[in-house]
Amino acid sequence: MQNDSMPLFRPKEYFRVATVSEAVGLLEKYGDAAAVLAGGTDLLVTKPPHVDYIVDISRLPLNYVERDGKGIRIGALTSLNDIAESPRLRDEPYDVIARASLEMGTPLTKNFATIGGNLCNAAPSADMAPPLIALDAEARITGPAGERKVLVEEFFAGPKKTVLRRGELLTEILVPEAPAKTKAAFLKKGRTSEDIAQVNVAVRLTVTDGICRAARIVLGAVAPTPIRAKGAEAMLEGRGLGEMPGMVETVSEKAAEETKPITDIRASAEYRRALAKVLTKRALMSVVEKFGRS
Amino acid sequence: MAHEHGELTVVGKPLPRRDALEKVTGKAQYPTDLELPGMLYAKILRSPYAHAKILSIDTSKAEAYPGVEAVITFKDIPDRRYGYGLNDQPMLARGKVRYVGEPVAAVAARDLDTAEEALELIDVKYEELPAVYDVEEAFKPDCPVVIHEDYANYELTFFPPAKMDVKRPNVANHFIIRRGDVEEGFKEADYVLEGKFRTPRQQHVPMEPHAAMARIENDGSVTVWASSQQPYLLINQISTLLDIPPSKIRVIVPYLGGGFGNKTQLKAEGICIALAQKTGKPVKCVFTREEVNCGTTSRGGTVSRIKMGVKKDGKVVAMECEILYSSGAYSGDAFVYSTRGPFQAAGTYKIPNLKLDSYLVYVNEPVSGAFRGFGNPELNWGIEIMMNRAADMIGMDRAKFRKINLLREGDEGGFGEIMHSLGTEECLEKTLRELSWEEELRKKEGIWRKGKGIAVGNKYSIAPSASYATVKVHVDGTIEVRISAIEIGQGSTTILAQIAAEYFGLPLEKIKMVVADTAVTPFDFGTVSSRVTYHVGNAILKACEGLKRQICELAARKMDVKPEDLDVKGRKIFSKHDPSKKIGIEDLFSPTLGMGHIGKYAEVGGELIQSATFFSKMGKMDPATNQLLNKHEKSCSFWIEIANGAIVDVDTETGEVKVRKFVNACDVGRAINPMLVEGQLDGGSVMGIGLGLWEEMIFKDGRIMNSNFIDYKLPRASDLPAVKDTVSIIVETPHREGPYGAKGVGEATMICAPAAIADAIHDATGVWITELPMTSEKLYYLLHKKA
Amino acid sequence: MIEKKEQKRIGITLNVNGRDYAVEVKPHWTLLQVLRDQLGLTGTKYGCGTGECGACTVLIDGKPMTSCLVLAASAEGRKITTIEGISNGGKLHPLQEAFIEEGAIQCGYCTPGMILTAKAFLERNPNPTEEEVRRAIDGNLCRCTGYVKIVKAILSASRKMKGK
Repeated sequence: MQNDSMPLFRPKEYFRVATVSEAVGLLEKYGDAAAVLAGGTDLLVTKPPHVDYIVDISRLPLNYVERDGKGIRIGALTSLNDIAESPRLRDEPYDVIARASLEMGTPLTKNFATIGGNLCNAAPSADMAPPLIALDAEARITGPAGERKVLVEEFFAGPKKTVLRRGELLTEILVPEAPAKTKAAFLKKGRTSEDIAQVNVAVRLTVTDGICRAARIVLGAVAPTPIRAKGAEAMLEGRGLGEMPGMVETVSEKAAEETKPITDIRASAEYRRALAKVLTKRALMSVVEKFGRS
Repeated sequence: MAHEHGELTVVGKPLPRRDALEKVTGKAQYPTDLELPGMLYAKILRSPYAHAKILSIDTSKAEAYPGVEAVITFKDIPDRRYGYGLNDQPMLARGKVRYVGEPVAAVAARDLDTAEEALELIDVKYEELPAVYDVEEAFKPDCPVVIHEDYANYELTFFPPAKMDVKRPNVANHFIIRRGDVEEGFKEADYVLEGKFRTPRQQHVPMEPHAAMARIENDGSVTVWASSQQPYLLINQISTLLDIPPSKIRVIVPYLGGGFGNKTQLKAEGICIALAQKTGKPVKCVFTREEVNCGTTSRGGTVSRIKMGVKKDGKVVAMECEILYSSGAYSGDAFVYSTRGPFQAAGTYKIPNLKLDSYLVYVNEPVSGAFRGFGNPELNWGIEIMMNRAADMIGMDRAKFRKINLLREGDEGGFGEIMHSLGTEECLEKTLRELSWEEELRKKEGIWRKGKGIAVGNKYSIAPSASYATVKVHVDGTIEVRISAIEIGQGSTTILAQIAAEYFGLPLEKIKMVVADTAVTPFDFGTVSSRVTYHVGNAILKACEGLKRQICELAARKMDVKPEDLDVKGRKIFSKHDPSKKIGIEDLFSPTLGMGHIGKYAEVGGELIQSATFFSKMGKMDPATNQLLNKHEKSCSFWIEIANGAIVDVDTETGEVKVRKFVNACDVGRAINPMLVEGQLDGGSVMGIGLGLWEEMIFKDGRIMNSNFIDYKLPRASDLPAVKDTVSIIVETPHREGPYGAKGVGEATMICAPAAIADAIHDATGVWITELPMTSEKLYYLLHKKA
Repeated sequence: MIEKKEQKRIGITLNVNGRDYAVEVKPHWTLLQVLRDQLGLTGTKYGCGTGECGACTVLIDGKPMTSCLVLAASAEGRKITTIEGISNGGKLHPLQEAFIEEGAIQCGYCTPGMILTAKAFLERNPNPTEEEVRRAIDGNLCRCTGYVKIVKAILSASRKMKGK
């Protein structure tokens, strides 16, 4: 509601850029007073009063899902609906990325909401983060000093904070080619079917000769940033696929212990911890079953 | 009223609604769409504190801001208050603010941006006061926070007057029912059980926010376009607050994008008028969604305690209820609904010994107002859970238990009246059949559990209340009906046209409806309490009878017969003895000749127009017991009976509930338009599911934390059962006084949904939830209760 | 006297229902408010302002989107369709007909957005299941109908549209 002390969203100027370097130039020039407009679905909800300059990047050619020898490259401006429907995200384990976008937002806002926007908004509950982290994805960043790469796992600095420096723009996400026999699952629990996650989780297993070589358990909305439950992951690595069903209880218990949830109007910390355990357990079983089917 | 009719040709038919075409093409106009040339935009400055003294208000910077044409505070308007039962609410805060969101000042500016910016420049200095938010705390005699220190001096406006309790400074009213002797009843009982129940503050969420637009006419009178379900009440409130005679106030209500009771009280109208008076220009105000949540009414929370005594044979012998209704910071419709919610205890079951105490309690929260059900769903919640617990306790099937206790035609209801038109049993039977009640559900083990539940309820329609209708004949035989019932989506305009069409034997297209412009359309109590079909429908029939008489009198002169010998059907007036002797309606009028054709006119009698009142009485009650002195009189206009059923799946690991099937059976007397009645039932089912599973207004220090849809969770299409599993059942037990036997439906559609779902959850898991909403987190804790 | 903050207005051309409109907008104005307040196309409704209710749905290059979350300035160069633009010279779209026949309209406030969402959906998925229809309209809230007759109307329209 209206509050005496809340100033209004009244940007001075709007720029529509045609190139990445134009965008970078404006972002560097105006710093915190500038806001990137991609899909608009976060910016126009929060309407931050400190923003004086809008840099509309929606026309940049960053809307693609490409596959090459290195893996899958997703342009930062790819809409969540395009991700959900992309034919290049049908194969396992990349389908977990499409799965996450299906669980997000509404069918309407996802026509405009972008994967880059979801990551840069950096909500602890960002649904795109856990599957990308589970697949060891990298964020490609372009700035005044050139290009750099950061693991998506290291992209978040805190609630609503990323590691982007002044003038930097997230341009692409690179999901490296997964080792053979990698499968993943994503689960989310909200209050209704369309909701910000109370808890979300992505689980990924890479299994060769029946032994788990790499495990990722990534949880969102249970800490200031999306986190990996490394203790739980360690319990899985080196174990046989056959042992997993017997371990899900303890592994998910461990994952829940590694969370640092808060209580807010969406859920209490205790409930979040309980959900973290249940969702991890279910996602893990789901991945194990996928191996069973193949 | 008793109305004889042969086979019906229009009433009872699922005809497409009259406003469908304009709504489906985007042409329909709502208050938010209106504009006038030269119009200014208004914004309201609202209190950020739940309870505070206003030390000073400095509007000078706002007034000097480019584009601002006026700023008003309490100083610019008369020192008046409005309310229900007691006049306790100022239009703009005076001296004190009592809830977060209370209007303190308002601005009119040339564009909306300027108005928003100007609000930032109004400087209000507050001294915060301690506040009370919990209704049980506020109820205490020694509650340290007193919200209305001078309520003893408030003007009382009701009969009977507000019963304030000097020992409890935050109690604005106390309503009782005393029937029989509960203490004796409990002694007679084989089992006595008690329960405590809570419901939260919940929001109607009409899809369209509130809006008002006001214009001062050259003679000083006021025209206001309003989001109002009760235009005549609005005239009264504006008149009281701004010292304008009612005859100089005109209220126009276009289509409303939903009402549900949210649009019964003055909101932006008075402020727009005051600003229009000050600036000399039209002024419009549109609320944001956040403002709808904090600045309009909502259903206040409740705490109730119910004690029930039952015998082994299944008879409920005694029931004791105490319910605290949160009024919020002022007395709005909640004043009335705290006296009408108790009807829930009186209209479904035969309870020989009943003791009920209902209290209206002030807390520092937004004002509570009418919300579909008007206090009944909150009490039904507790009563139905207790009925299910009682059935459990004596080991009897819950449906059988209910049937033993249902009120039936001719029984004495909870207020002592002889009950009429109760289709409860048929509603229940049909619900049970839909649920395959006899079949045990499997899936009582494992993570997902399935359960079935039922609940029964009632909704009265308020008396006393009155409606006028005016009907007129046009020279081409069109019948024009003028009424002030509001089209909030329920289809009133269509079904009232159907009633008029049926009366005259005309097709629907020959009825012209003129709706909700008080310059032209006559008095109506309001589009509330599920009353429009019955009261306005009856008024139309009475007016049509008068019009028929007037037509026959005029025709008699032309046909040289006695008026009593004539009847009217279709567009013909014919002799009852010899139907071949007839004239057309057009023949009643003579053409203007000589001076050119200026149209046709009736040579005597003036316009063919009649107006009628339909008035519904409430019988006299003994004030010590609220029992009718004469059992043949009525406590209300009529009772609508309801049964609901639900089948749910419960995820016992997360507490998530999925409704797989929902049944809503309602006795509406007669469905004037079955398609529209089904639409109401469908919508009520889903609203009930939402209020049962997810919806609550969450407050912190009196401030709403979830004022938008991101966190006030509403059911979406995917959250709900399939079309074939959302079953709406129309039951018809005609009411001898209803138009063609019709009663009403609007609120009945969501009286007992939450209780049916709670019963299904209990069937699935063995757990009783007593507090709404039944979120997954709440159920999780109940399922995993740690020692 | 307090000064107003200097905001640079932008002259843009909006293509709405096949017509070009030249308008001047402030940087923060949304497509929703420009459609309603400047172009007088009030069929698109304000319901929440946060993209949650879908009452403001328009089609942008054929895709349904909540116009309250689209900056007017950013909508330049896109093809915008509102409810006013879908009846073909006075002939109703099969969805509009189906909504009327099935009783899918009550207060009507969600109707324009619902129809546009359904139109775009049926063009991509002409043979949907009920579940798919429900997911497609998850972004459009209705408080009156419980979605029941709306789902029936959309399925009915899909059959009508296939018949053509």
